[in-house]
Amino acid sequence: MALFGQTFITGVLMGGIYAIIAIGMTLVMGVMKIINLAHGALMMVGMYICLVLFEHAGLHPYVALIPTMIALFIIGYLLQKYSIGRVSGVETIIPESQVLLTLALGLAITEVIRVIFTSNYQIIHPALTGEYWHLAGMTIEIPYLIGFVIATIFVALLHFFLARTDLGQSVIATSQDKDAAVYMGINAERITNFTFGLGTALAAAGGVILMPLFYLYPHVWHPYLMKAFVITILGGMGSTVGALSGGLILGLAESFGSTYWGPQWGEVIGFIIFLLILLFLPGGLKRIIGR
Amino acid sequence: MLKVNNIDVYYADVQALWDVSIEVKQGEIVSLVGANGAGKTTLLNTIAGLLHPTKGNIEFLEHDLTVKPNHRRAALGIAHIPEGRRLFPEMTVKQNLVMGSMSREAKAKREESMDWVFSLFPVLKERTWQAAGTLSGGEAQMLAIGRGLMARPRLVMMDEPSLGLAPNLVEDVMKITKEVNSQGITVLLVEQNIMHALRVCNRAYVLETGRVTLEGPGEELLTNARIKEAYMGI
Amino acid sequence: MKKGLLSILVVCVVALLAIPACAPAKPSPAKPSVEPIKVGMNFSLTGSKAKFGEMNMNSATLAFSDFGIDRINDRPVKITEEDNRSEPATAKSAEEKLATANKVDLIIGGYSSSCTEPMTSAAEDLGIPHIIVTGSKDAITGKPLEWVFSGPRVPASHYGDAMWEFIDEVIIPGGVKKVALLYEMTDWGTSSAKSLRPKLEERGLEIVYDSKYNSEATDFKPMLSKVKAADPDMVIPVSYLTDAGLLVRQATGLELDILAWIGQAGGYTMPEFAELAGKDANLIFSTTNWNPKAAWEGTLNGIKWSGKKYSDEYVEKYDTEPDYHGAQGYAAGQIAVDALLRAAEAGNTINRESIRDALDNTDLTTVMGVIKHHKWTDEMGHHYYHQGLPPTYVIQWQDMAQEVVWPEDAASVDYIFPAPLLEQ
Ligand SMILES: Nc1ncnc2c1ncn2[C@@H]1O[C@H](COP(=O)(O)OP(=O)(O)OP(=O)(O)O)[C@@H](O)[C@H]1O
Ligand SMILES: [Mg+2]
Repeated sequence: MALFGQTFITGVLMGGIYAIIAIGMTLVMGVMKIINLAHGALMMVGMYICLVLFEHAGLHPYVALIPTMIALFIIGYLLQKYSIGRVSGVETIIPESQVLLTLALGLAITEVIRVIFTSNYQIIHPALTGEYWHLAGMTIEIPYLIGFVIATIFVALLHFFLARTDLGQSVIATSQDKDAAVYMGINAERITNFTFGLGTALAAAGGVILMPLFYLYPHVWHPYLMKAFVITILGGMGSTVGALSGGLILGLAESFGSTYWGPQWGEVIGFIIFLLILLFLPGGLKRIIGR
Repeated sequence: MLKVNNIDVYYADVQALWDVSIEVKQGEIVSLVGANGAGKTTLLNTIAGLLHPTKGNIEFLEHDLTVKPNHRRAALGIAHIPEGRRLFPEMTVKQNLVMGSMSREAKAKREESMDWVFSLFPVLKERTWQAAGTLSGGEAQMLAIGRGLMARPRLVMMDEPSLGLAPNLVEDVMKITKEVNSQGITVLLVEQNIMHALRVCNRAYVLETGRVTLEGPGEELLTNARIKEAYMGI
Repeated sequence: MKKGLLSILVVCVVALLAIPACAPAKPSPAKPSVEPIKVGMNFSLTGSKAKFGEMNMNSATLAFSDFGIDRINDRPVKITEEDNRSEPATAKSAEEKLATANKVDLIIGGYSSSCTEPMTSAAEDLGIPHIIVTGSKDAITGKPLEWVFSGPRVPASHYGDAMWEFIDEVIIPGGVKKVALLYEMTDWGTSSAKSLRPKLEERGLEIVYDSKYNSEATDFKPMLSKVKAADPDMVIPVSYLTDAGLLVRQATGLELDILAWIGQAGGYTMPEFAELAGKDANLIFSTTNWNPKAAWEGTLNGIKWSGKKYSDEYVEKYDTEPDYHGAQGYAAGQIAVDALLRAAEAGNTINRESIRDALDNTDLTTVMGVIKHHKWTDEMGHHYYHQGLPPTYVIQWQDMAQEVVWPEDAASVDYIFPAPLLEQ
């Protein structure tokens, strides 16, 4: 029973952190109809900013979270405005060229970080790292719990923002029909830049809450990009509830898979889910192409 | 109010409009008629800013529209009710209406406008929380018009509002067009159904393969021999 | 004109081919005393193995300068380097060039097994003493070779000797019965686990958990919860670096109640491991082929040395920490210096034969421990000739530092056992 409970808790907590990373991707994919392959690299940039803030300004990652998110919002906004957005003409849109561009950006960003910080593992031990809570034979790593709480708060705030504010509704409208949004007087270009910035900031938040739990190196983002992608397909584009439930499903599947099926299978399960969704629930994918 | 002066419009290399000029005066209903592919939607999209003329210009009130970014046109008072409605399918009826009122002036009057739209289309009020994608054709068209009106426009451009509607609903749409007009809103109407279009309007333009070939008051065109022959099969 | 050029070319090629052929098949007789004593170095200085080849050679050269060997019996000592480019064929021709063209008296060399094998067969054919430095493949010294000596290298199947000795003498008597075996899922982890399993079982240890895992995962708690449920007394993980740190941290968090955690070489001996695991690194055991803290020291040619001194000197000179490859190079240098000195002492002239005879009788404490070139057979029935057996080590993290705890004569501190994950 303790094993089951431990597995469940691990899955839920990890899933919450996956969700916040994925939610940024799902938003961008909703509005831009492209897979943003730079998403993971931008998350990693957020982690390095957090590292610098911790080492040089002594800010705990949970405090550094806000400045890091602001920085990444600006980086994302500008990147979209001056680079990715330029490739998208209204008439001559070739989605592939934008995807390729995001891939190139992701790799370039990684290289720049590698040059600045080297490939070495960066490890920080802020307060609460390695602190545990023991409960009925189960163990909860406190930074996981805090990370999960932060992630859920952001997901809830984002949900509220999208559903209840004009700006949020403009993001949704733009993702559903960009031209129609323009007819409504929405500046779709600025909404796209804004969404990209927002998605990037959320990815950075996901990265930052991993900092007390994990280690950092320039390629740290690879598995998270794949997970975000799986969750996006699983949860549906632009849907906060979808991303949260997708994150939880993936987290739980990985956790139960590795406990009851063998730890080498944990990660494989995500891709099995991904394939099953593509095969039997292709709605998600259809919407990406069906624009 | 709206003056389109000698515009040429291209889709890449293909020219769709040739030296087109039309004028819509304050308070009028002006119809734009023509066969499929004549260029009616192209003209409306150009006015809305989705397409850009290579020649000529477009004036609206005091403004030269050709230099305004497209999302600014709503704030100037132009509402575009596009062909195929283009509702936001996963948003509710209410959310769609809210999206219609994003300019600063419209935002201030949002509640009032919504009451007004609900009074014009009581059926929408019943459907407030329904996703737009699940509305019937007639309801969807009403929502499209209602969403346009939420902007408190001076000029409404409607692109085939009766497309795909049952005959009695077409009548309704025409009635609504008149009613909207009677509230002081100028209307530029594109309509397949030429009888309706000419009856409802003050003046009309006939577009043929990208060129304006005829213009005049609606009743006059109704009796025009060429129109009768070409569009009514008489 | 073309023809002329061609004939010149042919002459050149023939001349080049003729050089080895003209060389004496037998070692040259004693030269007048002004002739230098020549030591050849045959290492991978470029190519895929350059990093370790360089460390091998720098260390061997360092030994010669440390022990002040520039003249013996009034003959200057001269070192000649050859780069074998990490290629077996080049390794062989470099060996031949050193022996025949440069006429060296002794060769030190060999990093990768694939380069070491052709070197040794060339040395045997040409009758030149050769000291092997690294090349881990067991079979390299598996047949009797008159001219080949392998003091500092550890045959691969003996990398774990210290750990098994430690398990037999400390761990099992300390009450460990049940073992959990975790290994990362690449080739390295699976093959390590494969060789660990029978050795655990033959000692009567019960493997109560046995699973591979993905070393890139963030959260190992599902696996560790199962380990906990299996209730082992000891965990033996085969991990890379980052998974090593996270595993220990998360296992500590889960309050895994064990007597020992013996991480296999790899991640557990790197400084970053302690950074990742933080204070949870303490009391973790691992194994290594060498550590500067191994308490080996002595005097050679009247000069005092120790593993620590060598390591510090290397860091100062080359700005990077030497690992066991470097120590093997240094030990090879020590063995060579000792052999040359003894060859001279006996009143003999220093030549290939006298050096070989001196190497035959090597019994020397080096940075790699006590080295003898002798013939022996291990418990698996492998025979070794002219092969030393440098000890391997068990290290334990104590106060955030790696300490050598086994073998006892090389220990820098006493081991702490039982070694639970948390000493609260
Ligand atoms: N995106 C486009 N790219 C290229 N050509 C186009 C495009 N849109 C329309 N056209 C062409 O421009 C011409 C005018 O089309 P438009 O849609 O304006 O006609 P319409 O009068 O609105 O027709 P309908 O009554 O069928 O709606 C047609 O020949 C059409 O094929
Ligand atoms: Mg049309």
